[in-house]
Amino acid sequence: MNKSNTVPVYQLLVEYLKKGFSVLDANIQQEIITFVRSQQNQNGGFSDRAGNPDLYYSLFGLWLCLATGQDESLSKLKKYCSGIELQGQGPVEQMALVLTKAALEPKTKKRSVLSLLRMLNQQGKNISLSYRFFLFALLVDAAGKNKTVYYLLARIYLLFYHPKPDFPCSLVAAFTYARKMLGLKVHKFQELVMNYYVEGGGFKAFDTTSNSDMLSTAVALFVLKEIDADLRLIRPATLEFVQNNYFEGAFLSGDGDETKDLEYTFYGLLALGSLVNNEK
Amino acid sequence: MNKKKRILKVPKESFLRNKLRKETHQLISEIGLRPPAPFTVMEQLAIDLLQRLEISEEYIDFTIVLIGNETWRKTVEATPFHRRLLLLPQCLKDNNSCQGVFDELGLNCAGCKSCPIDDILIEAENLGYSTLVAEGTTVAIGLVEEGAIDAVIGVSCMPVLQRSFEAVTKAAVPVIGLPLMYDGCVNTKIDLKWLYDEICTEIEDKGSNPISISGLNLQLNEFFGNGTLDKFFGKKSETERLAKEFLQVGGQRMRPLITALSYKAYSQQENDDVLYPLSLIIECFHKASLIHDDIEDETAIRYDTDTVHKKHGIPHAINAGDFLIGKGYELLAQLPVEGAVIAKALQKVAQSHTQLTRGQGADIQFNSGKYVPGLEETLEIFQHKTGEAIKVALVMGAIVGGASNDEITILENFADYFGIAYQVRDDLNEFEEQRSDEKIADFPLLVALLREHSSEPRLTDVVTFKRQIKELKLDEKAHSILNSYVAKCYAELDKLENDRLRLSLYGVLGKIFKPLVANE
Repeated sequence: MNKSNTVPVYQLLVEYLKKGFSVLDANIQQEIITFVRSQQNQNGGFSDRAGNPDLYYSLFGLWLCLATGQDESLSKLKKYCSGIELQGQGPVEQMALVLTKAALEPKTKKRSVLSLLRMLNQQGKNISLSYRFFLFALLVDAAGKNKTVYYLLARIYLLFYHPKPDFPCSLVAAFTYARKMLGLKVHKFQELVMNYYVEGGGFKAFDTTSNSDMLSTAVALFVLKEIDADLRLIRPATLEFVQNNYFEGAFLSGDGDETKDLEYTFYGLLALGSLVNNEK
Repeated sequence: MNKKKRILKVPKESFLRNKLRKETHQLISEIGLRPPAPFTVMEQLAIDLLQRLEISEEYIDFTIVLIGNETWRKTVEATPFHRRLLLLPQCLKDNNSCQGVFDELGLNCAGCKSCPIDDILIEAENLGYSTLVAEGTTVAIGLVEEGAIDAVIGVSCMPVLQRSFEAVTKAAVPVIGLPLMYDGCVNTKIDLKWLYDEICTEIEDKGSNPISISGLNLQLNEFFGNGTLDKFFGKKSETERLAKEFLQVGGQRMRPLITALSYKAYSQQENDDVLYPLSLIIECFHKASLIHDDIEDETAIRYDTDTVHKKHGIPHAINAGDFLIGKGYELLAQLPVEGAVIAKALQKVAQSHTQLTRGQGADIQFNSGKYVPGLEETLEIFQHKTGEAIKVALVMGAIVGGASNDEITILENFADYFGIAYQVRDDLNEFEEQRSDEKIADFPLLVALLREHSSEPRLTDVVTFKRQIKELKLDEKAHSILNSYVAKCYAELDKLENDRLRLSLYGVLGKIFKPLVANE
């Protein structure tokens, strides 16, 4: 397996966020910190777009706090998460909680891959199969134990699997990254990811979509960077796309949605970190 | 209609949805279109906008929904969370695994997480929303009319949003509608980020916060129902006791409600020490007129009980009515507001008093059969009799609340038209009902119409009279008169600058004239 696989993927993501954050002007850095803090609820959880504390958004809050060094916010978040039980939460929230705890309490006992799989299957019908797969992979990577057998199985599966044409960019990029992690060839997949590039902008969500968005751009850039693709030709336009979607301490979705939220701010910094021209 | 032939499509790309959301927000902020906006106006705006943005016309109806949302945005955002309803469609559920059960109000979510309903409900309820998972908007409109809530955020498919448009507009229900991503009645989807954006904003804005009519009604009923009135009445005489007793019994308290409504709408600093006496003044004048009218019309029963003169005799009844008139003027003189305001209010009340007696005088003549007025005169009598009563109630609240003269003039015109429309509707209701004790004098408008349209009007008995009305289609003519006056009411309301009162009165009109206007 690749060297970067020795650390959990989320830690790698945080490193990219740090890189992205470090290239920003001090005033903008302060704006981002202020925005992230403003999203933290009094009980320590980070707020969703309805303004309620939410585990999914808390996960993005966690990663942003780790990247920007917000220790006080992290303590509050830890307190918030410690009071929440897995049971009764939706699938996305359960996985977000496990991932958050894995980062905040590294000594937490790892979970068997089977128990993580069960968690998904118990209550996971409200999210798409591809997204479930993605979350599961992230979860196994960060909080699973005895992963070798599963990695082997995944390697065999991915060897014969080919993404369908209607898959979103982020999923194709995730498959590409998974192949890279498992030591499979990625050249053809790199081309598939590049197919989502919009000339003069970022990456778009679907083949049929005409506009780029921040999520697809960030995920595609991160994966392309990780597989050592040459980003020189697309760097100026994607950088402009990211810059154009910065607004008062947050990155926006890029699809015209003007609400500031933690999720897109995470993607904005991830995209920036992926565009920074230095060694990993 | 053209709109029904169109394909009701929602853009699949969030980019396009967001672009249209932003553009409609900007457009409505610039032109200041106020709710409830007519469909044709919104349709034209949507067509123009899509042409300017070079976006396909297949999104006209989606854009109309967005424009409607923007007209209501300020009102909805000014409505506290706990006074809002989030209405979700049942079709969001997963048909194969939903564990929820249905009752008369819709789906009771079991929280199985097989669909997004439970998560959405939790989000909204955490903010303080009332929530409902049901089809259509009838329940939501009912809840607004009952006063349980003041605004609705509703998720539905485009066809349902379109079908609900007329009812929602007539009832002036502040609503933000979110279309489902596609039609079809099972396993549909919604743009969750958009929904959460819509539900999370609450802005303190007294000028846009809708007045809860039912809340106000409850407040006034408590005031009239409990011992609070003792503060204004002593126990000095039998006359006083009798007057107070009649104030407390029965009635919808429509007039004091209207007074309180207009006072609240215009007042910058609401004061219960003004609101309660003001409402009482109007009720004193109204109840006095009822006592006297009952004597003049020889009415024996009111509020399901004997009238005052029947119970206590004519001299006592006349005296109690006179006492209430005096009490009204006394309370007006004592109102804790500036002298100039009292003088202005006094002038209006006195003017209204004389007008009302003119209307009642003409009515007495008509009932006695000695004089049958023509159509114009009949409408004038309606205006004096009912319009004047509404007018004084509305205008008193407005004057004391600090409304401008222009606003007061609009309210006076509105009241005139409202009074006529109300009486015409009353005439038609009586005509369409079958009562054993009905008499020709119950239908003054139809009598006037008959005299105008027939060279040989036969006013001998009710059966013959009704047959002539039907043969000459004069009931249809009356309906058209009613509709024209209701339209005049709406036109006057649209001139009002005060949005809170305008929307409240829109709601009142929608509620009162709903069944007949729907026949249009």
